[in-house]
Amino acid sequence: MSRRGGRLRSRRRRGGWLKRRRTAAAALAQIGVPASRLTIRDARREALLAVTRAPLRTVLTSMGTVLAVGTAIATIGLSNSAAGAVSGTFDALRATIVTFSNNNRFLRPPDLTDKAEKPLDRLNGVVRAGLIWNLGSPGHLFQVGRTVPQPGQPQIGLPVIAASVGGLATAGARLYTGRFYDAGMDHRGYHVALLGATAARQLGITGVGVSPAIFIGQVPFTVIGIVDRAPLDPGALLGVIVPPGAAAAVAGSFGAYGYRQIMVRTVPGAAQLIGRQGRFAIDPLHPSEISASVPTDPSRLRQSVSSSLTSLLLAIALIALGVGVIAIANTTLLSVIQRRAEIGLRRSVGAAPRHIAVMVVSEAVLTGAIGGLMGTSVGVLVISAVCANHGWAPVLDPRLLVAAPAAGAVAGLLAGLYPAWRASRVSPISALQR
Amino acid sequence: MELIGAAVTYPGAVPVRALRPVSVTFAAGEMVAVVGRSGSGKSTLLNVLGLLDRQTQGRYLVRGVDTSLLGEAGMTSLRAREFGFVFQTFHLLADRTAAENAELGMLYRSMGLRERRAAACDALERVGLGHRLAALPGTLSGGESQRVAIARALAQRPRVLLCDEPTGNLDRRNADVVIDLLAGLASEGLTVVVVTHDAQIAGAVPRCLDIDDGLVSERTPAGREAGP
Repeated sequence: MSRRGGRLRSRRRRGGWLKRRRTAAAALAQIGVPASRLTIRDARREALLAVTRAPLRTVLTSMGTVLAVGTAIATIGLSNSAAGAVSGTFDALRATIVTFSNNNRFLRPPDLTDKAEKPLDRLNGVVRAGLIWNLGSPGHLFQVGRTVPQPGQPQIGLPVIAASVGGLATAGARLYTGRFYDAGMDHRGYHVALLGATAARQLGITGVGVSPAIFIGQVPFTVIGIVDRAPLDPGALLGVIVPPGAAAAVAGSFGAYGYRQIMVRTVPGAAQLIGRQGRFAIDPLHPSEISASVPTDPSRLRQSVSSSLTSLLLAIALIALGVGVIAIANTTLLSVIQRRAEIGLRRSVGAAPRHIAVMVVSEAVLTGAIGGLMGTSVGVLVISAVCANHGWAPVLDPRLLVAAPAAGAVAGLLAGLYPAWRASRVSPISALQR
Repeated sequence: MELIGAAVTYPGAVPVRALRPVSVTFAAGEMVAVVGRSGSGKSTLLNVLGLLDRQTQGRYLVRGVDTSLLGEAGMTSLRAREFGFVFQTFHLLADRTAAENAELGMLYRSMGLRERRAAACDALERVGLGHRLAALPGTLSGGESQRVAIARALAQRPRVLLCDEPTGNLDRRNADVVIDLLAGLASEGLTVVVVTHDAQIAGAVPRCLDIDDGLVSERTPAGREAGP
């Protein structure tokens, strides 16, 4: 009963208060006193004036956002550019090379010969196929010299590789001097050889103008060229390269069991398919005996590189943005404390607490947007400089150029909420007494 | 404006009676000085009169409206329309020109920029600073700064001008200029209340309220004090 009575009394009190308020509002209207108002245009203009008339304060306040947004843009842009560059390198070189080898190469007679090149060449997507054959057992070095080996005369141990004409082309071999052997020389078993640049230096051969001779064991060969580049088989630069037709003369019957592989260069994107089809083209009866080494799918590789880098760097960027929000909030709060007298003055001339809150938030949003814009510029400059230095193509989603200043504005909004609430509670008396 | 038994007591472990019950009326076009020592309650009285603070006891009527019934928004609106403030330390915004400072009081009235600017220029002309519209406060003398502050209050077209030690930071010559200006405004129909501890200024004002330890007493023309 007493609780009910209390509720009734409370309701009556509330009703009386409301009635008095309505009466007061009506009385104000009667004497021609409208409510204080701040238009959006005036709030915008005030924020613009506050930000532009105190540029140092604006720059210092926005520094957190500049760093945060600059870091975000730079990290995202650099990760994309780096991923593009990494993927591009894979695309250009490795992603188009498929290598076939024999699973039981030491137990079965060799079936990977230069005759396998033709069926592979006929496959759609193959640019070039060629045999690369390391003579002898793995790691075996042949005695090579400028003269017939004689007792007491030093010889040099060098690896010997038999590479078909197609093999040389597929490996990307480049001549420093001389010429490559051709298919005719190969088929006729001519004893001609190419020297890798390192091997030529070891043998003291600098040119092929006088057709220098070398001896691999007891077998003489005429050097017709020096190779200084073979990006897909750099080991070739260390040794002697001979045509497969002359390989038996060097390695004897055992040499036939050396490690053979057929290297195939494909058009971009065809490596996976050629890896599956090639085994059937080489040995239709025993495709399982042939293994194919296929590069990672370039699209997956790019995706994997990009996504792992992007997610990592995005996390860093978000942390940086969080730091930016805290930095703006801190500086804005300090600014509110410094501007207590101004806030008090505004309150005394008719600003309601909400008008003060709007003022602080508008300034914080504008400061954040300016910081975002400056940060975007800094980020783009960093990306351009780093990419120019590394020779990468700069990659940056143009939507980011719009999103970053907007993110700065949102950071400013979030950062301005608490200082705005604090500012709206500033009493005009306490502010003006300072 | 009419205070009816209005008093202010600040709560605390030991409540402070900043203003003892006072009943006083201010007529339109009247110039009144409130005189007292530091800490006597002058500013508390001014804050109550200007609706910056509320009395804790009694009533305060402004144009017949009982302010104790008004909420925060009502107090703010009434304050903006009825009162203009002039402070001892001017409180000018350092990064705004004299004209922009004078405009500030009209910002919260939904007036257009041109209308505001025209009113601010008129007010500055009125205080003799029509030639310093674009001057920043840092380039103004103390007397000029106070006149800009008066222009800021006048631009709002208030009925009452409340001045808290308006000559406190000025030399005698500038103080006389400001007091003459305020007297002129009163003669034009504006109610002017000046809080001061300067006896010379108090002597020059037609009506004077003395305040001591929160107790307000009216000084009679003959110099004798009478109870409120």
